[in-house]
Amino acid sequence: MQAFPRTLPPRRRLLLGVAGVLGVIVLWWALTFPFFTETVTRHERVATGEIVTRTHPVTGETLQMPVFDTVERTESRHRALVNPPALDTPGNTLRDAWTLLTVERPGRPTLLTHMLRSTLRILLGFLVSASVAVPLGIAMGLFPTLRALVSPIISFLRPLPSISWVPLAMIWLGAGELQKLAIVFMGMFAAALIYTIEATIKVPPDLIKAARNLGASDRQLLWRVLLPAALPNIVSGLKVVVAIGWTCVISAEIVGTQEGLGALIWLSKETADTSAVLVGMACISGIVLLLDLATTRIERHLLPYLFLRERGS
Amino acid sequence: MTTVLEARDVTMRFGDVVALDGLSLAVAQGEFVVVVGASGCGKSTLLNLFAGFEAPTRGEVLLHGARIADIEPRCGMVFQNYALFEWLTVAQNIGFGPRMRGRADPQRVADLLRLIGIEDFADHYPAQLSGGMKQRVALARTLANEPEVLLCDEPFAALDAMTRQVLQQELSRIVQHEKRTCVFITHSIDEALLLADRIVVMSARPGRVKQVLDNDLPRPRTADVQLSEYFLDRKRAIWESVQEEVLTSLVRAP
Repeated sequence: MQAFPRTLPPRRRLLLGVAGVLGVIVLWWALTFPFFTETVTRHERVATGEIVTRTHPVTGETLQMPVFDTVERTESRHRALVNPPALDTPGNTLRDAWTLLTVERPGRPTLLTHMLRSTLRILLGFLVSASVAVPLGIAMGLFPTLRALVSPIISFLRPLPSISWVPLAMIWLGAGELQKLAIVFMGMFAAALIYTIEATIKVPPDLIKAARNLGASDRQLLWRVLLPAALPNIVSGLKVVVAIGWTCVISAEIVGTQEGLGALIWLSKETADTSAVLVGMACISGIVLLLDLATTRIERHLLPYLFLRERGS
Repeated sequence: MTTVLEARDVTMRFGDVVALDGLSLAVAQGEFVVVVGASGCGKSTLLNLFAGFEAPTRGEVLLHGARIADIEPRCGMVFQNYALFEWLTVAQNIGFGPRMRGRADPQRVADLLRLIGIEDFADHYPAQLSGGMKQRVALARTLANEPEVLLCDEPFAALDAMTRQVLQQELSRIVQHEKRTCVFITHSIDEALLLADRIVVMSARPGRVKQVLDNDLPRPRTADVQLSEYFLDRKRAIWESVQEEVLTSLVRAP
């Protein structure tokens, strides 16, 4: 037995993973299960049914007034360690999720609409920012002059969290879809650009020398060597950028929309609807995982040589 | 014998560093010249000049008497780290040069695959190959371009000793078969003796030609040849010549 084994058999890894998730659910359930019975004593004024006649001290009117008595009432309530609205039981949360998924109310679209809307916003933002950032990044990777010119601006933009773009985006663009697109774009752009620049710079110089030596022209060097050589790193960078997109879209959906997982989360906060918040968050994770699986599939298809093992000798 | 490639009184300076200082070397048609020298003696710089990757600070580099002014595809380079195109299959890698020059020739690719003994791996990607196989492909890729001169920049340095031995013999065979002119750089004296018609010993920085030896060991240079008294004498002589330079460069490190 190694002191620090590096890997585990896949079956064991799967079992442990399932155990981890189950552990969290059991903990959740334990926290929200109403183990305790709490006795609450309340004092209530109750009308006795008796009516007395009194004279009003100022006006001298004759008034009929009911007689009240204070009664002590004890009630027993079931309590858990954590109670709603902080956290509901897993069962109730699941039921709420089902309601969110199936019941559409005015101003409250179904979960599917939320998911679709946010995903569309991200994909659109991604397409726009990637189609600017990738060509620009490649050019910056190739030409140090351009890199020197643009790098300081990028260094300024990069640290800005997407949420800090919300005020400007609203002032300039209102609260419509364009504002949301702009926030998502700004959040993704700097990252996409930096990944592309790095991918381009990292192309081994010997590959370029070899291609030149074999007679490749400038154009051939770009399209046949530089691009394919940089592509794997660009693609893996863009995968990270899509994940970044989620932070952006949640920021973008703080205001001016009732559709989107961000809107769902922010609006549910107002009504202390913890279940809806949790369901919204779970949906984000789920979609990110699915998108990642999908992109890896596409990667395997487009760049098969990255997924090979050494053979022969 | 006609001179194919020539460096005439070449000086190469990088800032304050003089990499080559008044170096002259002529390579004849069909000759296998091996350049031996301590690390940092400017061996690679010399190859870069021959390939046209760089222009000399002073002096001239000539191919068939004409000055090499730009990157020169007629001087085909084989790199130490193979520099294969990972996204292309073995066959596509080999066919790259002719394809770029609008002269794709599947038959020549097939012939080369056979020549280097990797026809079964034509559709494999470089990631699926061992180091020795990769260097075979890189060699074939360079040969596919029909270079006048084959420039080898320590191509076997990253390989294990046994693979290296096999590839040295293969290179010898291929270069003779294809009647190529070859300039080969190494820091291994054994490799030099095994491959060369002529061995050029370079001095430590600044790089100059210190000594030129004709290597008349009989071919093929089998294990028997490598263990002969004559081989060992030669090795000793070169080592003594190189040793001085290694020591000089060590004192002056880096």
